[in-house]
Amino acid sequence: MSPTDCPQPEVILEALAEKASGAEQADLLSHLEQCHDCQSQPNLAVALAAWQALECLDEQVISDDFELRLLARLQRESEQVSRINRWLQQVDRWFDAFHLPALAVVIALCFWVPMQMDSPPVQAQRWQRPEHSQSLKTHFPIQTEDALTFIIEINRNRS
Amino acid sequence: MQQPLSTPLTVQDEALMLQIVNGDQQAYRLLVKRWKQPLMNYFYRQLGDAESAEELTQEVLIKVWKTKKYQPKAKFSTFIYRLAYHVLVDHWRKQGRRPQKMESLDQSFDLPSLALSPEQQVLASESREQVQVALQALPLKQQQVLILSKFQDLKYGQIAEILDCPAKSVKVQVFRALKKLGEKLKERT
Repeated sequence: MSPTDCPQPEVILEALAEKASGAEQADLLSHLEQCHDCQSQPNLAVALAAWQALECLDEQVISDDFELRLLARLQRESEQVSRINRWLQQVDRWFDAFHLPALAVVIALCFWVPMQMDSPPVQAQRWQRPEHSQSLKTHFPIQTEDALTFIIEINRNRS
Repeated sequence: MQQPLSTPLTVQDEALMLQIVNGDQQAYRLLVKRWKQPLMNYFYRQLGDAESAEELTQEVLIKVWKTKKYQPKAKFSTFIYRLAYHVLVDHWRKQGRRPQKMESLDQSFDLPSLALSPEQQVLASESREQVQVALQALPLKQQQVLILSKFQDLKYGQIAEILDCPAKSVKVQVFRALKKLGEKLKERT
């Protein structure tokens, strides 16, 4: 690889990350060592240094009883699930046996309860002539009922 | 789950997973043996806390056992790291937010050069916490591309599948993440 056709920083990093074949990596590294253009790229230098800095994130050995704890947790979870399933099955059986009578009772309650509730008594109110029309009382002292009774009386007499 | 292990070690993870979907406890135990340590490392490198890392490793392995549908279209490693990634996202969501502990990076940190000298190796091992804090300060996806590409031996295509993004963007993200990580570490020098 000649210094004139420098690989893109992304390509160099991809080769490192994807564990490119030994020859390919060696080729890239020797290019980086020789190529002043690549070395003067601050971004590439920073990226490569950070890539190596990641090496210090070491491993952590998992505890010996991990599997035992995992299996115990799975056991607990499956017991819990089976308890919920049993309860759901019980509800299902109960519903199968009683769902029609229970539905009938619920519907009956829906009608019965409102009927039993005390509704406030409706008081008949006598119509009062409004204040602003009180003067009409003197000019038209005959009430509607009286007028109707009078008309009915006349009709009866005619017949 | 008390049966002795007799499944040969050569059985592929994909085949084991198909057996697990059918409730094979022996296959499950073998898969746990193979994957507990890589998953532990994956979480530990990002959290820096062994207890939480073990807890999340358990979460992933429980999800594996509960999987009802599995189609070995992709590699098993892609499948399991995808689960792990989602468990990690859930973990951060439950925590409220990811820690932004950059202010604790007050000690100097020298970036190692391309070829690590023994002194630089010592420095690198001493600065684990600084690197981890700087890593945690990166956006979650950038953090993932770095860990998955550096330590979990995954190809960019697999990482793209895990993170639900185009493979081309993984290439760009790795470079951006490293640049940002390097700058964050350099800021403190």
